[in-house]
Amino acid sequence: MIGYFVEQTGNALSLGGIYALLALGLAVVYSILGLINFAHGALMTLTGYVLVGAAVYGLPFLVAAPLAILIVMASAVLLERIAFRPVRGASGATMLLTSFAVAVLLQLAFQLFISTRPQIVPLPDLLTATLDIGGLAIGVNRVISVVVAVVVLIALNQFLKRTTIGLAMRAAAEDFDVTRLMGIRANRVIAAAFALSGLLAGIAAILWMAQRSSVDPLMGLVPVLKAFIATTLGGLGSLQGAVLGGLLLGAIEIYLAAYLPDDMLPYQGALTLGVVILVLVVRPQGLVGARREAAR
Amino acid sequence: MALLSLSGLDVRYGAIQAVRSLDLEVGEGEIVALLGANGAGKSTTLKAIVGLARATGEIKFAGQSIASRDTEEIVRSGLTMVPEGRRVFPSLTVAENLRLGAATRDDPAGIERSRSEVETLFPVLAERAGQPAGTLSGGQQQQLAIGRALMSAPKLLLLDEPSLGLAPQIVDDIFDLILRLKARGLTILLVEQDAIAALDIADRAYVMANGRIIMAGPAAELRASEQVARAYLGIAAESAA
Repeated sequence: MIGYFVEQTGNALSLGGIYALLALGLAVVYSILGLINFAHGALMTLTGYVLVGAAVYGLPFLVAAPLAILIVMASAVLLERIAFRPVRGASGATMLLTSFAVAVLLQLAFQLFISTRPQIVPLPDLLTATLDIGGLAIGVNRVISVVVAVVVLIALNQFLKRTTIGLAMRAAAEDFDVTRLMGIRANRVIAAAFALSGLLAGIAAILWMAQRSSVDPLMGLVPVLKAFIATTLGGLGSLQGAVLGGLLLGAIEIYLAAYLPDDMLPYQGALTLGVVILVLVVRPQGLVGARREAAR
Repeated sequence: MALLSLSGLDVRYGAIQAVRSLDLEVGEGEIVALLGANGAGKSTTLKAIVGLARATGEIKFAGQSIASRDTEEIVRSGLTMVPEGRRVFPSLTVAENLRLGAATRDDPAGIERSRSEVETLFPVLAERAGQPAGTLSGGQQQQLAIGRALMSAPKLLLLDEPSLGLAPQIVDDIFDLILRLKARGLTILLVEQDAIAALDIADRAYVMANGRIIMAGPAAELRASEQVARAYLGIAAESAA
């Protein structure tokens, strides 16, 4: 029983860690621009296709993975430049629709130019191996997910505290005009936010695929919807809230799946959302409510 | 030659014309006060200078036209504004706020010098360096907002209502400080509702009403003028009561 619980906790942390990374990517952009970027999922999907493509050219995974992440970061910055800059400062609804449009366009592009069918993502054998820890079988991919998520969160925290551009991003989330009064270039802060969200989407995508080994045009859709729920749960616009919401959502999903009686399992998704709704009824601003409204 | 000169400045918010063909000059080393009742267009004028409000007309700083530049480029050219209501970054620490003030500079020695100058002017900022700015009192936040602006080593400082919402004793401190900044060679354009206090420290002043300059001259003259007392200072005294 204890073993089962430990195993499920590992699963909860690994799934929650991925949600947290994705939610952070959404929150970083939202906190500064007031834009919920649903194209974030397409960035995840893109990561998968770059890995597939890199394998065709015979690149080893340890080269392909950083390459995929870099390409996704650049794509995120490019998306901002092409699609989101023209609607900067528009209403939240305008920006939301723009991000939906971008998400759908990218999805269609994947379907048209690549394939509607899932492609195998070649992963190192190590990722699909299992560890035997005191009689518990734990997937290496789970362990790596947790370790990577922790390392990324610590690094991100340091980045936001120590670097000028990190400080500027936190400042811009609180008061964009005054950040510009510091002589900090608005476009640079926003580009940095998108690059960071691309980095997080790329890393999360690799961790996500490590548990599935395939990519299809819709791959990013569900995890990013979950990440959006996680940011809402944690408090829209709050970075700590995104992490907390991601971990909590992962835990709710895994523990419900693990401990619900079999005949209740079909309701796992509904029950998960029920818990989220319950939290939001009590705390409409989310667990770590952001004080200010973001809008630009 | 004037360090800052505005000519024919117009600012519209939709159908409302907030500033009408405004001319104004600030000479090097001066404290110039821009006075007027609430809604006269003073703050809008400052926002137009730093590019946060869209304006037409000519804005020259240190001989260069800055009218069509972005805020960040204007600030990089050597002027900055302490906004109304202080607007420190509340969740960032005092030290982080100050660090962002120097974000455009890349000479560590110069930044360090500015920091120690700011900490000499405002010892409380050194004491509270690690504390989130949102936890400071109003007066301390005003000190931080001014200190943060000084970190960019500006030639011209625009101050928007520095006395707003502060206790009288603290207001005196802030005005003393403005004089000390002038003594160190800084040029200051001061927007104030407290006309008497502003005229005490200013060299010259402009009085605005309904988006226009209705009067201008040396501060001492405006203080003595019956017309100003009637048209403007009386209103200030009334609203203070």
